[in-house]
Amino acid sequence: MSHGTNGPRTALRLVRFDLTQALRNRGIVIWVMVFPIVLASIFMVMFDGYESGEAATDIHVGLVIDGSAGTTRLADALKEATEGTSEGAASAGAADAAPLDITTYTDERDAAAAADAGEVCAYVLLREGERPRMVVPAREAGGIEQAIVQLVLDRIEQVSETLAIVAKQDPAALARPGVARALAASLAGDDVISERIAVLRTQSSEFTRYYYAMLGFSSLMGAQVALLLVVSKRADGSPAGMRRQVCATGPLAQLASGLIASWIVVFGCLVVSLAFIRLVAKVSLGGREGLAVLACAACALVSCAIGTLVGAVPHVPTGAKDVALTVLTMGLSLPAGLFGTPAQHLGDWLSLHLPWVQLVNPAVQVGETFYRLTFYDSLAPFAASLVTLAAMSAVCFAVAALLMRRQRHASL
Amino acid sequence: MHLCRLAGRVALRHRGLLALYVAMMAAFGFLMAASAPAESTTYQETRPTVAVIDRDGSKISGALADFVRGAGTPVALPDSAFALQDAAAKDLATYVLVIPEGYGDALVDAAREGAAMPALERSVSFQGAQGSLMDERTRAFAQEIFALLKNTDATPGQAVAWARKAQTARVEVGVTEGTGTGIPLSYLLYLQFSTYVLFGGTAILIAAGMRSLASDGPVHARLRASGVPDWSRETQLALACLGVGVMVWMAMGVLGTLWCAGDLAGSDPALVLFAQLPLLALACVGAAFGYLLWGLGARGDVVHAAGNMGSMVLTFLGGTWVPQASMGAAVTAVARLTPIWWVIHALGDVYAATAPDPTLVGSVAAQAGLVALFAVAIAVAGAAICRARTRS
Repeated sequence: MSHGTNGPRTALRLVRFDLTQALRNRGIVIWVMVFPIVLASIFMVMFDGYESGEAATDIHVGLVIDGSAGTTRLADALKEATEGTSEGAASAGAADAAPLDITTYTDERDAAAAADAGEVCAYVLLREGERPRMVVPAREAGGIEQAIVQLVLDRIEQVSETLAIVAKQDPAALARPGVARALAASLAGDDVISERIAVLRTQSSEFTRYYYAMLGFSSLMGAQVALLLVVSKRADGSPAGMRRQVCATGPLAQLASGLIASWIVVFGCLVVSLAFIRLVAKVSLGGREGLAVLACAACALVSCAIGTLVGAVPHVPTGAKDVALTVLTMGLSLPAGLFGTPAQHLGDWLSLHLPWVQLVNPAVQVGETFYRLTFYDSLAPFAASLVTLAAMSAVCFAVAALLMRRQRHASL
Repeated sequence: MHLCRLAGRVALRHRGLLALYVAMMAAFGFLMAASAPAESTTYQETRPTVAVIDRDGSKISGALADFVRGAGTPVALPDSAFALQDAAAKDLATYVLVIPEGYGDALVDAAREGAAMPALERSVSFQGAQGSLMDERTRAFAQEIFALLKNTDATPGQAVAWARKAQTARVEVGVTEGTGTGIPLSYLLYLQFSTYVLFGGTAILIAAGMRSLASDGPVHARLRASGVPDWSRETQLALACLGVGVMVWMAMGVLGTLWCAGDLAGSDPALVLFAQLPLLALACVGAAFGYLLWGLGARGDVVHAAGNMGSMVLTFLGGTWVPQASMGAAVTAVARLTPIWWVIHALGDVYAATAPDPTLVGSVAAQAGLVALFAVAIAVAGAAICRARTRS
């Protein structure tokens, strides 16, 4: 047999067989091809409400007044200030600016019960001759909605305080006709402007993180392909692997063809997922779609490396490896932020306190790669992510090679 | 009940599967619970991370910078495009105020001579609400300085000093007097996370663990040849599935109580126990789904894919990962047709309560009942499929 002539052809044939074997596996087709698209579709439907503003809701606030003329005037002032603040927030570009919806109570116990039941985020207590007081439910103290109400009340307090300070420091100024009224109007005004600057290449969104975390999850699930193909070629992995170990083609060539086939499958699936989230879910890649495909190639490599490592672990049944890889994928995807806000908080905490944990987590690094590519002008952070993924792959392959030693049929 | 015990023993042989799906997933739930923000019964104002880039260096810009740093949690940020991108992309600084060169003088000119109002610049990360709120506060402070400059003869230094003093006047904030202590947020997060295991994990344990009783030809033939009537055999196998579901539910409950014991100290035990009711109903749904997959003769990888994928889709729709209140109307309409939505809703009711009053008991029991109906519907479908396969 002439290796010079038949070698490449044999290799291609092996790769083709491995591709067929991988694509005939229903579990792989579901996990690596269908699942990312199903998950991205769910994200798309769920986040559509947020991005269209449909999910933005009013801020419900209670107002307790005793019916006296003084408190009624204060209540009117509060309502007026509330409208001003909402408009101000909207004009400042706060897409999530929600109007305040005020419910009036005459009995504080009713307002407290409504606050504890979550019907209002807080209530404001207005009493004749007393300063306004805000009360928040004990179980939900410190939310953003309460901070907005506090801001409105603070501004009312600070207008009065500023007038008092000026009256004390510069009484002549307030003595001039109309100045006190003009100063009060100016203090409550909205003359100062701030403009939002676009520092990122494309607008960031808290939902983008879900899509990138999903790509990380898909990459790790893709390790199932390499696991399947590696196990099918190892003498201790399956009866077919045992037969293959004694065939004419060397174990190294078989392993290489399996890895090439698994890389092709995972790479193809990732590119399909990427195309789906770019074209259907309209997730921006900052106009760097070509480099995003390169990122998919690196992600597919790390996926194959992890699958090879798990497949190389000796004396563990294939079913157990399969389940372990599934659970590992779930666990590693947790700090990548796939499982909602609590998981994202966990990821943020780890990034702040244990950054090396995030650095060695492939699911996090895959998401980070796409994040850096999309949002940064410089490509240096993206290149660093690619190097990290390549280094992870090298380590996994090296450990797998060590584990695979002495696992040939003759050695078992 | 001999067959029921046999099926239970067969399922329990898969201890590795049980340990991975129950213990590991419970550990992930505990991780989520551990990352929950500390609960406080006193009001603590939202303090987003902030950074200031002062390119002006005037008295007014210095006052604005001090104000922003005092109102948030300050982080150092160099004045470079990369640093700004890093801060916005990773939310290192939720709000970045950039004060342009000449801002202080321009503000004085705008107030005194009616010149054009200069603009501050801001960069807000994806935590938009907190950043916008911070911007509102910053503009309110700058507005005070502007109003003082416009309507009095104060120098910029005096205007800044007066505005700073006025900032100390803030509304008093109190908290309501709660009548008791409900379940803590960390435990709620654990319970929410456990919905994944109770549905998907239970289904996988049943469909994969008891597969030999349905798919192994000789075993199945021997079972059929025994003197046990068809209805009794099917009932016993269904009961075994239910037993596995209850076992997973108990394991998750015990692990959660042990791991969150510190946070649960002081919570009403009746509420903690009551929170398990909708989860038990969900475990029954998971068992019914596992019974259905088992009846369909699904094997290894398909079982894992169906269990995990089904669980992932339903938990997202149900509000395990994204709050139900934040979902759009269309998503909510669909989500209401899924069991996990009702479980999360019932858990939310228990979390909001401080004691198990009759209204809460009625509401949670009704929702748990609704979830149990899903279990019945799926189990009936599974039984029909099992029967059809047996006859064929």
